[in-house]
Amino acid sequence: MHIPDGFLSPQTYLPLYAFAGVAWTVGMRRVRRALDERTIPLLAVVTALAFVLSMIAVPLPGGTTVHATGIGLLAILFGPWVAFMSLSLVFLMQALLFGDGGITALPLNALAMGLAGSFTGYGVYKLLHQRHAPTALFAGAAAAVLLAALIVATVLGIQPLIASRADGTPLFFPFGLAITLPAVMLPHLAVAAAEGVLTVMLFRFLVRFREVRAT
Amino acid sequence: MRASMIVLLLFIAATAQAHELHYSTTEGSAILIDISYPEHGALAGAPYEIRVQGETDPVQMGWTDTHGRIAFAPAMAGTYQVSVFSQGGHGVNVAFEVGEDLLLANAEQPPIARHLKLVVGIGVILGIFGLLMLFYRRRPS
Repeated sequence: MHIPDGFLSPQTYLPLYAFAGVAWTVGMRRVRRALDERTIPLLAVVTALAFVLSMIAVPLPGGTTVHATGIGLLAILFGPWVAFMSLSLVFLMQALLFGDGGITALPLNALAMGLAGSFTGYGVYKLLHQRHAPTALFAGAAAAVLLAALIVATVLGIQPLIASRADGTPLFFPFGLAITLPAVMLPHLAVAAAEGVLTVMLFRFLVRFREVRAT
Repeated sequence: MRASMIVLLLFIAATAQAHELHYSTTEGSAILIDISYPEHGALAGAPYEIRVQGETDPVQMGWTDTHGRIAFAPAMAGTYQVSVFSQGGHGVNVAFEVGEDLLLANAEQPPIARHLKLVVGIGVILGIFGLLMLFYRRRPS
């Protein structure tokens, strides 16, 4: 979801920046308490992995591309606040260094994928992990992707309602909810399933790797 | 009576000419903007807008062709902004400059080649966490 500049109206991204600013401030405090010398190297590797996953675009029929995000894995391994801050770092770097996603879209990406996605993934995992851990991992990762996609599709889809010219043509993103919801959500059903499977595999691998390192 | 009929017919003929559209087909130069997914082909049929930078009303709107291209023949020099939208929220928003000769003078380029992004990105992330690690090591326990 690399939304470029010019897709979101100021009426959208300015309030989102205000919300994201508050969330980043809280996140900084939470991260400071949550991290230590043992967790930072693994967090660095998983954040780098999330970045790599977001760079691998898979084309789908209809002229769109999708990519995994690593939201669920980060949230389940390190907690939602750490995941939020790590993903925000990835989005900031992509926007500033690579032009992948605009600086005006940064708060939407951070809040939708980083905050809402992480909390959803973590919450679903916590809710289910005592019943069946692999199902909890799969469902957590999938739910994180789907909620993030839903938020992004909704915010994009309401742009024509928020800002348009005198003749009614949209000033920013031109497609309404009737188009953005299916266009974003249907491909992300596949992404959610793929990300769920990937999260189960990577989580198991990382847990085993840690156990081997510890012995 | 006959004279008035002739005048009426001439008037109708003149009005009919007013609705006629003239056309000509000529060769000229245009700026070609190519939109494609890296390694996955053209972004065909995507809506786009070209605006003079800072203006809200577009000077050209349309859809990319089947090869993901936009042809733009500017009428005046200046800096233009092209926005291309995919339904899923991906797209581009880049600026280009048209000179006094109405040819492309300068165009915003991607800041870094795609294949280098992975290497640079991983390096930056590991570097930032490396600094964080130093900060945690120096912090009194």
